[in-house]
Amino acid sequence: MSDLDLFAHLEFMNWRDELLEKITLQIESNFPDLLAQIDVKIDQAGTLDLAWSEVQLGNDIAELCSEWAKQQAEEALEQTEEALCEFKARLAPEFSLDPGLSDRLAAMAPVIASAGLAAASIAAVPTVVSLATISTSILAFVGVSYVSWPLFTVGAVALGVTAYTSRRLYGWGIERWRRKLRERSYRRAEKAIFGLGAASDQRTLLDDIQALAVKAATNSMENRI
Amino acid sequence: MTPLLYEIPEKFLSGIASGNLKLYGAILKNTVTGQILAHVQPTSVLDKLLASTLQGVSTTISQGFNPLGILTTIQNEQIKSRLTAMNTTLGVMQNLQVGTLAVSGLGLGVSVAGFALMLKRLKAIEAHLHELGGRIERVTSDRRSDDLETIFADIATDLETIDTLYARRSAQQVAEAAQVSLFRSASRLRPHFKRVAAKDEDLTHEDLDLLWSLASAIRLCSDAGFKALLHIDELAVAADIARKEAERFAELSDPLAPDRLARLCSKSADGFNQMTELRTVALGKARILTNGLRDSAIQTASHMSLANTLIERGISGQKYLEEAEQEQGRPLLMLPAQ
Repeated sequence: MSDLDLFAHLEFMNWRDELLEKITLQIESNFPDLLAQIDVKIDQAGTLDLAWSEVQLGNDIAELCSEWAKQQAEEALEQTEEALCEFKARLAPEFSLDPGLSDRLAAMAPVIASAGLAAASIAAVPTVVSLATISTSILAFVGVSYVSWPLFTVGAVALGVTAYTSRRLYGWGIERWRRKLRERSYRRAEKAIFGLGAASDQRTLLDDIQALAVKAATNSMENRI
Repeated sequence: MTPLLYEIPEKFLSGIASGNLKLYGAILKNTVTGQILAHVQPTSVLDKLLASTLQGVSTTISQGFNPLGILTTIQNEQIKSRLTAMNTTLGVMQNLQVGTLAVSGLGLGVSVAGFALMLKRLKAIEAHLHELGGRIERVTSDRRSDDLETIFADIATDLETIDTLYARRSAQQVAEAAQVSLFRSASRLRPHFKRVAAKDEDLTHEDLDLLWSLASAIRLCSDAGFKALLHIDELAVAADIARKEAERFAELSDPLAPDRLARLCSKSADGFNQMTELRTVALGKARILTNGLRDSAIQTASHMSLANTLIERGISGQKYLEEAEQEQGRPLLMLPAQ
């Protein structure tokens, strides 16, 4: 490896690291907005048929999260494309000094870039991903974490029984029911997106999006897509 | 006698500032032509300036080692500003981390620190590893035959041996043996490093500090081994080993994405808000660690280039080192490439 190859290698790794940090920051910054959307759904949940509301809410929140995940993936890929252009511009003097350097870097990039990413996400990311077009398979990939959003059963049936006995108790129970739903939804979102409370080998949305962005970038460098 | 090392001219300093020239480690290059213009070399004056600048900032640094997280990024910048204010030539160090400097003597050019000082630094790293106590036991528990204490004892012996080279009749053989032994010690430290780096759960700030300490010890072996080879004028061997070492530092840094390390450190958080706080704190440390390894890769690669330049110009490695060590006034000098 020449000193220019080594320098390009290290610059590329610095670029990857900056990109990963940007994506994490993006997801963290937008996460409160997702929670706010979940709040709205829970506040709007009907009180006439609570058991049905729970099932419906589960589906609604899963859909909401999937949609949010897709938006995040799109934003991350936009960021990646921009960052890749900046990276190429920064290394332009080195690329012009050694015309073969760009190809050598592109050839090693997929392997070295994967080294700092979650293995489960790297293994799962579709091979054919591109910065240029965001295909439905990519959107399905990031949305998949939410397909099996668990049921929200926190006691709606019992609340329904309470409604027959005391209106005051029922009102208090509804608020408690909503609070529990909210807490459970927040925890579920934190687990699915950031891996909080999850097993170490479980895929998270953030890891998936980072793997997707890095894969798309290295594909672009190899001009395969 | 014609000097080998010269003051860095103003046109080079302004060239760096304008972007026409760039420092790749200690190699000063023209960004357009790629031509190597010079190798920047610190002198013993810089060690003194650095020591006085760091006074009051951290007592541990004055002992020769900077544990991860002692110096903040802001302090790093303040120290660099103070150094630059003392001597404008030091502006060339703009991209270096003082944290790295404190670990490796300078992180620029060949360290002019004597082997006795390197030994002091090694002891400080070892003492810090002891402070990390329980963590070390965990790291070494599955590698009973080869624990860190033995490796550190071997490194210390090699540094002491190299320190006596001037007084030896068989300096050549002794230096070669010590260099090989240092090289072996670095190879024995790397699996410890990789084992901690591969953790994908329960990563802590202590683990990051442990990685930093191990990386510092590996760097110390690399620097001392290179300097030993320069002493005995084994320049071609020095260049070859430096190239391999540079690649190894890069390889060590590849899996260490600061973002991932910081997120692993915050995974035990109780909720989103605590997670972001923990992640932010860990991220600063993780960046220092990763950048330190990558700086080491670049600096070690510049060792290779320096050795090749010395060969091309027919300069003795020992003479080069002596001139850098004997300089009394200027903190940074340069060896013109031609």
